[in-house]
Amino acid sequence: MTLPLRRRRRPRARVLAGLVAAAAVVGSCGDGSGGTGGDGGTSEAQEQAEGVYEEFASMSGTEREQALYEGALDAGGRITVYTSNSAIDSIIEGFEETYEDLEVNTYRATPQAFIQRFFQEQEAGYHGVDVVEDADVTLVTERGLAGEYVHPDLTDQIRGLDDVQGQFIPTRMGAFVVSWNTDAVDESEIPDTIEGFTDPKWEGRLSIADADWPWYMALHEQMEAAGKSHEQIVEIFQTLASYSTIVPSHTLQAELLAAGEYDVALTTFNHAVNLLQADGAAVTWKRADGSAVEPIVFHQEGAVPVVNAPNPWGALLFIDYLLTGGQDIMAGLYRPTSIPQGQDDLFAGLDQVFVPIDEYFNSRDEWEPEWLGFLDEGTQHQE
Amino acid sequence: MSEAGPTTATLPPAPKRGEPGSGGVSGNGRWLRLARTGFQTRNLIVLAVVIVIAYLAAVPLFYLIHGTFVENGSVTLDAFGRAYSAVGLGEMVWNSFLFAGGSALLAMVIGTFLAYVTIRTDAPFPTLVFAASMVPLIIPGVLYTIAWILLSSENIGVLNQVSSAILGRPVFDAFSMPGMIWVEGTHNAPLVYLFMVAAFRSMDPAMEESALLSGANRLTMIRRIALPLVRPALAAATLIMVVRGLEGFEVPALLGVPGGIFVFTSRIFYELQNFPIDTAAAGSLSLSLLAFAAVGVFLTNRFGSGRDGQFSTITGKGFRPHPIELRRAKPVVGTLVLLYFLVTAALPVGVLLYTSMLPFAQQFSLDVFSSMTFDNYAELFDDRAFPRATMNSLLLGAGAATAVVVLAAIAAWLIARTKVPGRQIVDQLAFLPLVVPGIVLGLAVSFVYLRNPLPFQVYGTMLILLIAYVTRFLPYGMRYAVSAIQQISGELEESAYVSGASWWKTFRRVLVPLIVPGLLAGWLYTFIISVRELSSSIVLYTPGNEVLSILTWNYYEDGQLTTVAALGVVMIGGLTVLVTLVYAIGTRFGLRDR
Repeated sequence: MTLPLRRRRRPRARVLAGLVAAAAVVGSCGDGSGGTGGDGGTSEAQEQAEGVYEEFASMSGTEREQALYEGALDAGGRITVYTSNSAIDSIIEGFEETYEDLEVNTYRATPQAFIQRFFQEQEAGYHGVDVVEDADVTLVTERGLAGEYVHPDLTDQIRGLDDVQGQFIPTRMGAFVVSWNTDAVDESEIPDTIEGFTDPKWEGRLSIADADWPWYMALHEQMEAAGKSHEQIVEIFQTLASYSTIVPSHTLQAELLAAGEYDVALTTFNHAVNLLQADGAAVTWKRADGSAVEPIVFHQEGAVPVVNAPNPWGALLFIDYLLTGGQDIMAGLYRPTSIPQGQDDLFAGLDQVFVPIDEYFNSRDEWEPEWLGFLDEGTQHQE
Repeated sequence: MSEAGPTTATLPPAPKRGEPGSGGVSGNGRWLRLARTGFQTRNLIVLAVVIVIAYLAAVPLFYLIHGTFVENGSVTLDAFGRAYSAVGLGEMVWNSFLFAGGSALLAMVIGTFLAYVTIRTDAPFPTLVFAASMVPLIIPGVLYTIAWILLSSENIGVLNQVSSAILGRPVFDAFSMPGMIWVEGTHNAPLVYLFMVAAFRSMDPAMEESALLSGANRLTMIRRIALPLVRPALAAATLIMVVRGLEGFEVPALLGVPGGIFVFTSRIFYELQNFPIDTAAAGSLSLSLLAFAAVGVFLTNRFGSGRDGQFSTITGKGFRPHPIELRRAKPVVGTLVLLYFLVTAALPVGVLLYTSMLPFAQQFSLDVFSSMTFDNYAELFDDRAFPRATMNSLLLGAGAATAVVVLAAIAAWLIARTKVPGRQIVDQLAFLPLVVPGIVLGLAVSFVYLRNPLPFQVYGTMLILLIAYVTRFLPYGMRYAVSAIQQISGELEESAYVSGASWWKTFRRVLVPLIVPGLLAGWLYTFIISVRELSSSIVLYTPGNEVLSILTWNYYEDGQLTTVAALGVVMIGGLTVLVTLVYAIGTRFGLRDR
């Protein structure tokens, strides 16, 4: 695990260089992200970053950590992360406590929003991002914008690293669970499987989030394996969508469930429900006997260092932290982690399926439109 | 705005070399002398300001047009084809106009009614109406919209819980076209009120009194005399409201999109959120919206208030308005005024305050009060983004206001005090951003600085937000500065020149002190609207440069309803203090009451 570090005294020349760089930043109105603009900086930034990624691929232990920390400081001390991770603030707090004088700035938005912005900036030659973190980082990798990440100590411990075929470094998992408002629904009413919610009595009482095509894909595969035809499966999800309020994010979905806007949320992440439950909200995804609507659907998410990161040392150090101290923090927030932690007991004894990663990579253009088609067919859109 | 009146047409004489006012230069070098003359100083300063204004106003539009029409090095209309072949385009255009027209109509009816009853009648509670008229300044659009979601969401909205208890079903639906019109219209109504108050104040009541004496009843008098007299103001206010409706972002994004109702601004925003990105298609939608907004503003100028004084009803004859007695209608009008205050001020603020003290969003019940907590405030103050965003907002607000006032004061001098050929172009350039919707401006500015033409970095810094704010709010600063200068006779400056003062000294020591109240009002107004700005900021901010409106948006998108309510209460408290300060300072410096 990572050790708290203190800053070493740096050579005077570097301090001077730092002062010059600081003056340049102040000259450009103070709050620059350290990004580079224009084609002139492209190859230089990329060469530097790729060199750093290669250099550290064989380095581990405190030597790696100390060298990355020093390098990150010398590169300006600022690390920029684009992510959809709602736990990112807690992780950054832990990171900045561990690594004094490093500062992490985040652009947190829906995956579509931040990936799109990232590409727009890259196309314009603006290179201001060090790490991108989400399941959709596969798009970043496909465009050749992901740098190489190897950590000799951690690689073997990462659950599902082989499954993601080098597209990203799995750092966390999303666990889709069916949750309900305990004031509105008695647990005895809750069916054992998702199909049970096609009963007309659930009409207008359900909710799904609009970007949940991976969830549909995983359940489609599971149902197909159980002998259902594609048409039967499509009918099930069309019905579920038509009974549901559509919400734009999972956190909001859980909040509105707790508030009583609907009775059941089909696609909440477990951690959002567990956190609300801890605050005293009348929500749960498990019955009193520990059973739940099955299967639980897991979706791997992860990070990549950006190929032209302005602070490649910081990029590697931040991903290292996501896989070490960050795992503890996520576990404390009820999140399934990539390197197993104690909180996995939350799912003990429950059927689990995983979003098929190869399909996720290769067949998005088939699954996503089909899912969006369900949503467009006469559902109640709601906030 | 650009027309100089008879007293403002004087070109201040540029002091000649060796004359008093030239700075008393006696050196031998020709260039040195020239550089030191007031003439050069004046011209250099004015030229610099003109270049900055032209750059701010024209460059983003150029990039936007270029980015829309030029793809892979050749001119094409493909982007329009892609944007306009999208499913539901016709519906989106219809929605845009329905929303803009509906909200304008609602705002006009409410605002005009309130202005009339408070200025021309003995209606009760005028103070409440005045307090509510400050609402658009104090409650940013994004917070007002969120407050209405908390009030009228289908199952958890407080109003719907009341209606469900009484009628057995929820009645209100914020996520609908009527809901959108309601929220936008009621938020804009105070602006109409302020607009119409000025018109009714300057209208000689003798005409209404004559109508009443001639046997007309009150309604006939209002319909046949009062309203026709303020028709120019009505027309101008209507068109401004329609343009505001077309440009509005918060309501369409937060209420329209979840209900599947898209208008131009929300479609542009979501076009920018989709993958793969098609900035040219977003640009083509932006240019269409820009065209509609420009037509609206053109119509405003053509049929609305037009030149200063064109439709003025102020005459040399003094009059003292005598309030019309409402008599039996007084309780009805009083109730409506109370209702208005309740709807636009008390309910939105109340629901934010209530929600900010809940441990999590939940339905209203008496039990809730026992679990109320200040945890959300603690969470807000613990969030490291909050102090950063607050500081960013204050810095940007102060920076934008200062830049706008300086640019506007010098440009206004050029327009109002000189006959320099082409000065109207400066006026029009400074006015141009008014027709550019915030989100379009944001997109255009991002087009510019992602392909940075300047030698220093702009994208990724706060400077890009500052540039956007200064561009966006320059027209407002101009309005304040031009009207302030036009109120000051040119004779005072001429006296200074005659006494030997240079242009710069005259400008600094004579003109600026005289127009300080106007400039101060412009500064404070620009500061406040900068602090609330969302639609440009949301396209332009980068990590570390968040402002308060972005924080509000992010909290809401993230489902942190109770935290966003706490932030709302803090922001409203802060803005109330600011607006009170504006009022107090303004009054002290001679700004007109109300």
